[in-house]
Amino acid sequence: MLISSAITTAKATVLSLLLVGCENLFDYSPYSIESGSQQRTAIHLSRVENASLPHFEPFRFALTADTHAYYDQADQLVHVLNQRHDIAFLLIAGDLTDYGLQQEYQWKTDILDNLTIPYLTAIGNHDALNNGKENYQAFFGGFDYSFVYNQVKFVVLNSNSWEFANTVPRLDWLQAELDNDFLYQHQIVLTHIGPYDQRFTSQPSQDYLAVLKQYFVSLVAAGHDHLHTYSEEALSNGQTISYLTTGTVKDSAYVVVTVESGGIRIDREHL
Amino acid sequence: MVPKSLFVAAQILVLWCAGVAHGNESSRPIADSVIFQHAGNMGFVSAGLGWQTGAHLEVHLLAGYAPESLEGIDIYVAGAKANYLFNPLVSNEQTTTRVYTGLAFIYYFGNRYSTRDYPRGYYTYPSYQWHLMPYLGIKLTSNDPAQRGVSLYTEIGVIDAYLIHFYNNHQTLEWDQAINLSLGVSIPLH
Repeated sequence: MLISSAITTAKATVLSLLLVGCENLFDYSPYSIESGSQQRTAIHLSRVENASLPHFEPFRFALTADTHAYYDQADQLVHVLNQRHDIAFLLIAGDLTDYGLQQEYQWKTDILDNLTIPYLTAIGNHDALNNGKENYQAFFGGFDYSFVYNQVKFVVLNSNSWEFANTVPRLDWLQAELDNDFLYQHQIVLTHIGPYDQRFTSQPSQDYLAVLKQYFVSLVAAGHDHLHTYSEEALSNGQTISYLTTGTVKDSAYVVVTVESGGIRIDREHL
Repeated sequence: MVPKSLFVAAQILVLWCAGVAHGNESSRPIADSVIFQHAGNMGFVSAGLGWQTGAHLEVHLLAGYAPESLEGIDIYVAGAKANYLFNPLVSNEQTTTRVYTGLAFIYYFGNRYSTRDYPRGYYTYPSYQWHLMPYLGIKLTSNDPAQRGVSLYTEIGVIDAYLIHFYNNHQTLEWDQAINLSLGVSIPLH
């Protein structure tokens, strides 16, 4: 009797699995590439730019990085940000996934799409593994882009040199984007790997830094190290460049950046 | 080219074994069964050979393929599966039903899945080109002499990367997002 019940239950379970959403249960590999183009970057850029004022007005944005496979904490972050009404948008400094898998991108965007504010991302080195570059493009869009919000220029830079066969960061593109610094109150660079990382051997690092210092960049916001660090460097022209390593959402914390005419304030807040 | 060659070679091997089984009664086939499987992270379809040791252990070697039209990129895969079969749940004149558990070692061909160009230890398991996948299966074997002991099976498994994610994220990930199913048939060569 027991065995008969067990068999009936097993058969019912298998049949249920086959009948309910069975198509998604038959995985052919973990390395599938997302079909189509979901254009999240373009959609959220449009929302940010539509909300932007033509002149400078102080504002706040939230910053996180290295959300990796910390889905529970990412979900918590979404809930916290949705309760706030003083944040213009969220920036994520890369490593949204561990292995660049389509399923990982799907899980993460399922969570992030619940945000009521727009969000924009930089690609991280983990996001570019396996078929991650193609998946990133399908879920989000391009790797390098820029936008302006309240007369502050944001430049999002792909700095994952090893994963892109040392063809990035595209310093000529970065230079061109930062060139019109006189038009903006501040210029902020969002990237995954900061210029002081070990992977940039001396000369590329110097070139990377030279471009950042050459123009009026107020803040370089990076991820990658899973640590929260902040430093400032006075430049010879009297300006200051700030380097922020955001830290990971795993630590149940995020950063709020307050942009004011006189400068930028960094606050680390806990979930 | 290597993955395609291996895949074709595996298919030829399967056909040769089947030929030995059917064409020459005195020859001993090199395997106990021919396996065909759908899904289970072994491609859209995979084929290979099976060996049984004693009453409880069996091993399957499979080569699989999934086309670009389904996965966005051609997938070439090879895998080894080790099954431990529990005693039959039920056995009657028609079928014998057995539940089993197993572990698959799965290797995906293609340089883009390799981490060997990075410093040693920079990317760690399960970032590798190979993966492990535990699973549970149920197998129905025909006892009808006319069907020569053909078995149908289905397996429910979780590949290592998803298993780790699921283990660490009970609040946000649903179990049906992590698991996968496969269907297969095992044809005896004896």
